[in-house]
Amino acid sequence: MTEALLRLDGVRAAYNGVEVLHGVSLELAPSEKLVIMGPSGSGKTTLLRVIPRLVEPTAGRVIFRGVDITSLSEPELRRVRSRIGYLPQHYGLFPHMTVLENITLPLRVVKGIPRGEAERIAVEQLKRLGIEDLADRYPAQLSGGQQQRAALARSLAMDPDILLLDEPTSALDPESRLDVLEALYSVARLGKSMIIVTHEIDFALHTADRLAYMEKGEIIAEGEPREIVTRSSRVREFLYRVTARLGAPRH
Amino acid sequence: MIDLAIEYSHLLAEGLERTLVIGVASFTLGFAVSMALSFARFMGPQPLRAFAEAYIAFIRGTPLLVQLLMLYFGLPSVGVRLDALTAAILAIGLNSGAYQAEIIRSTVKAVPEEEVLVGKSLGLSDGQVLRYVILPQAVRNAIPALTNEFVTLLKESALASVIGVMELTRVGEFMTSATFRALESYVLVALIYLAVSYAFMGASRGAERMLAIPGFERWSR
Repeated sequence: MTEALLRLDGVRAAYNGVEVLHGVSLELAPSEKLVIMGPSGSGKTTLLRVIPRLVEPTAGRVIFRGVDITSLSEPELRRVRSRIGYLPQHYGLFPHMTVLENITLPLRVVKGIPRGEAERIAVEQLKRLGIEDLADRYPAQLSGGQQQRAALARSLAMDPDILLLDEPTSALDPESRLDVLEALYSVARLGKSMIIVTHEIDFALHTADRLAYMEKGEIIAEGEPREIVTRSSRVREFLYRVTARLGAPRH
Repeated sequence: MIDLAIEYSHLLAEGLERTLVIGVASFTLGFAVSMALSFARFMGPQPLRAFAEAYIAFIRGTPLLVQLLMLYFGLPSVGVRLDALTAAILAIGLNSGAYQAEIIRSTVKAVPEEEVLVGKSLGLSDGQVLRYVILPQAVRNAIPALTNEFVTLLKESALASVIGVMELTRVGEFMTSATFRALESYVLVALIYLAVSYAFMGASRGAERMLAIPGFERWSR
């Protein structure tokens, strides 16, 4: 087996003294795509945030490319973070900068790439996602779907080893949702590792290598997406609730 | 009243100039103090943070007049003698610093947490997140409140008359004692304060519009 790109070992995390992750373990191989599903409050967002240590784990280890991230100093951690692309649910674009500036800022400040070269990289990513004509717009002038694609372009421009996407389509109208899904399919074809929190079952079935289902801060089912959906009645019931697509659960 | 204005125009102009000097100098000092307090609060070690909080609590919890009297009449007993204008600028500036720090704090807190997280996740340091992500938005959003603070401070500069600074209010007192036309003298002085305050508020609206983030214009009308 190839060495894991990312490994979580009994990771626990808490907000204000209340534990929300109760010892989560998982592995991700290079170019593998993992979809995480689960009800609100099950710890999905925290799980994503704990990987680049945006939330500090209270116990356990996060091993990325063979290095335990939990033991890194601030400067070392910043270098590792620039290899991990994180997209929050509401895009996190900086509203006072144009789309182009949003993408070039980390390239220039973190990677030290000169402005001209940074702009070339930015435009290349915007073209990939079909929004190169929006480079000079400000986030508030874009639709939700366009903002999400711009945020995706910013992450891709950093050329990360892994992308962490938190419900990339949940805040969108139906048309924008399709645009973003299309973008996600094209990003998936790039062969990058991805962890995607989403309830898009079609995406999970067609693109993900694995599916993990979380409840109350723990992964309670994990495996090949079709197999998990077939095997776990909990997962089917959940999917029925969120999508009403798979038919009523049998009792 | 017009004859009064003409007769004392020279003195009124000097008084206004002094008022503006106190206003601009103490506001600038206050802004510098507020930035130092903000960095101490958000990024400083615990003792510095505690000092910043204590400073703000003291300033906000005591009258400006008492602070002014402490500096002007109190400091000479420990060997520090300030002239009246310096004492006024210092007292009002140090006082305003605490209030400006509170304004900055509220606008910093208004920057969504997701933007801070994304900044960090892209590999920016805390200082870079503050510089590139938080402050450009926080300072823009602070313009209306900071203008308000400046106008308040311009009016508070009248307190400098108590220690003998010949600013606008003191000129009013002088005119009253010279002519016994108290109502007209003070109405004249009040109208000058009003005109200056309105001019600055108008300028602030212009600055807000100029610095508005495209797509957010409807909020800055």
